[in-house]
Amino acid sequence: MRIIFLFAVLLMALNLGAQTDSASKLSITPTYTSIQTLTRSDIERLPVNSFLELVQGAFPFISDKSVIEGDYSFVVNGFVLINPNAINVSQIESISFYAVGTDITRGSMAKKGTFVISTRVPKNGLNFSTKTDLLLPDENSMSPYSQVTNSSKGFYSLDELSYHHKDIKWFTSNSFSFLKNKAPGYVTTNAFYPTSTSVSESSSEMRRFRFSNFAGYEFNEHMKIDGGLFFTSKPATADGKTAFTGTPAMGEQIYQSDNKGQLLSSHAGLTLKPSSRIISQLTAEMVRSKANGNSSFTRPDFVYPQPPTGTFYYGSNFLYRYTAYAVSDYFSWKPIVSSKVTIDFGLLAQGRWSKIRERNYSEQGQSGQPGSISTSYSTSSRKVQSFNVNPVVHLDFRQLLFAEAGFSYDSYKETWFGANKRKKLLPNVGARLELAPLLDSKLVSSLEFSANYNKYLTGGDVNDFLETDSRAVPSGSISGGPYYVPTLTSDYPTVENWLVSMSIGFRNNRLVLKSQYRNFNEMILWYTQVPYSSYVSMYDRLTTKGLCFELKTSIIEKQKVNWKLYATLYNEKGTLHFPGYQPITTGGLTDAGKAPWRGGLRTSVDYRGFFLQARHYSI
Amino acid sequence: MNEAAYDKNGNFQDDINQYNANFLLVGYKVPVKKGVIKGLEINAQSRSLFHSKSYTTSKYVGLGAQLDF
Repeated sequence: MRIIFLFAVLLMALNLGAQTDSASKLSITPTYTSIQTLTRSDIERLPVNSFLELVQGAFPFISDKSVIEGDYSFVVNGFVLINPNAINVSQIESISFYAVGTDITRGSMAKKGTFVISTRVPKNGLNFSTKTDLLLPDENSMSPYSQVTNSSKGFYSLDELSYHHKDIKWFTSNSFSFLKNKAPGYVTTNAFYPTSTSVSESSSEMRRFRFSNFAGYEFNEHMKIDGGLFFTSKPATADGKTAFTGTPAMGEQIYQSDNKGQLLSSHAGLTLKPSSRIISQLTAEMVRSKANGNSSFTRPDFVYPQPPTGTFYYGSNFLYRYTAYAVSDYFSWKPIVSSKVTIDFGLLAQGRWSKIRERNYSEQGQSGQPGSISTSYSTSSRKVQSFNVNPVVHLDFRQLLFAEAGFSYDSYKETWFGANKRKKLLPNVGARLELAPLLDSKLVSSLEFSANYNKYLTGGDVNDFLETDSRAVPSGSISGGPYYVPTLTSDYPTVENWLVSMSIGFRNNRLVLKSQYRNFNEMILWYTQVPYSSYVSMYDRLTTKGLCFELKTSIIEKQKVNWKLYATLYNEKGTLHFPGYQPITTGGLTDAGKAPWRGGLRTSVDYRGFFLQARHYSI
Repeated sequence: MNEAAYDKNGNFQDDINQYNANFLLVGYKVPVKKGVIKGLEINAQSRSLFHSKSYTTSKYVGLGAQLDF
């Protein structure tokens, strides 16, 4: 409540402001350029639920099978933020992805890449966006064990109402959205035993409310403040319900679950620019989320006694809370700025404190027989305190050579069944050559070579322990949570990245081709279940080699007709190194032994007010 | 980033948004410049309609509209 009150005070204060051009965002210079950007028209019109759905496939190597949230950094309007999912889609103006990082995210703050998100340029007025879709049942999407005998359509709607106001000194952008996503319902029988009379009926539904708000005020050309407040609520809905009926021996069995969640986050930023050569940007962020839910299963108790006289039931309830606070600063000083050489000393620093609390309760027994009830209860709390400092020196020589060198000082303290501390100094170096000006060719408009090496410690957030790392489990059959944190005795869990790329642009970059090779060598956390015992987890080394090709072209560029095309093609092969075993090669992360090419096409055509957008990705 | 939920088969998914999808939409920007309405566009849209290999999502067919005041 205090945060909401403070934000209301901030908005009131902003309304008293007046006059000079504002809302200017910190410009971000990527050391390694990206040839693709998702623009508002690529984003707002699509029926998607989350940030990840927008970006996967659009950028090479980005898919939900490989993206671990903690592996990437997110820069929103120049501020390094933890959670991009809190933003309403209609407020996003553009999304770019920079492999490795940008000048404000280096080393351990960039990790495997940076998503740079800019929100919509404030334009006074209201905006309403709606998408309403029928979800058609698709038998191919069902498990091969199921034979569909009946189905019903689902329903999707995403409605967003935004208000934007921009004055000379300040702006505000507020958005509210409501999502309803009800999956089609299916009635199925067992495909392997067609004579069985067992029938299951399944359904699920998700609803979500989301407020997201941005505001900024520019005092003068030397100082401005920005802020954001985000709230998402998912009320309790029947996320899954399956009823099995018609089996004489089993009777009717019902499985159902529901869960609800809330996310509250806010950030505030102060940008100081005392001179044209010095800039400092300080960001403070808070994220709190909570989820809890229930699942239950009932069936006639056919085991004891026979015939069934009671009902066996199993029920569980979980509670999950995540809290994170972060303070980060980007500082840049350019002691030398000339037509030939620019030198920039940058310093990135972040302190983060995050905590997760989990509680699980389950109960099972036979109704009407108190003596048959057994219960279990578990609770745990995990904390990570991290501190990262990334000093870096940039050199820009005649706009031909861009080079940088720096290091990461990473310090982590994890607390979970005892404390686990680690800290290390790790190098980051990179260079980019732009040779097109030397060629003096009208055909070739850009020719770029770049190489980068960086290294950082794993484990910047407690989130790392929560997400199942599918790369460690090629079969994808193991699930559950890590219940035991390994003691790091022999090695620090580091990530080592190599990236080499080349791109060439023709005819004022109407056609750009890019190739990229990357090599990650990292320690990843995985875990498995020991029969009759518990879960164990450990770090193992995963090396991933990836090669990608990208194409961007503007096929027609006329006043009345525009046709753009983007294509990506990439291949990625990972090798897991288990101590004492032969390495396991995982192609495409989940298809053991194969390394299929992935990628796809994205195109858009505009003609006299008519537009067509299409994209197809195999990821 | 991941939205954990149960899929339509009642199986727990770390991320309900898993898909292998395509999008296709066609639309028209109505040339409205006067009055309260400053912009209007409508589109017919689909998701995962063609060659979908998705295991957990469905085919979407619907309409989208955007209105600027």
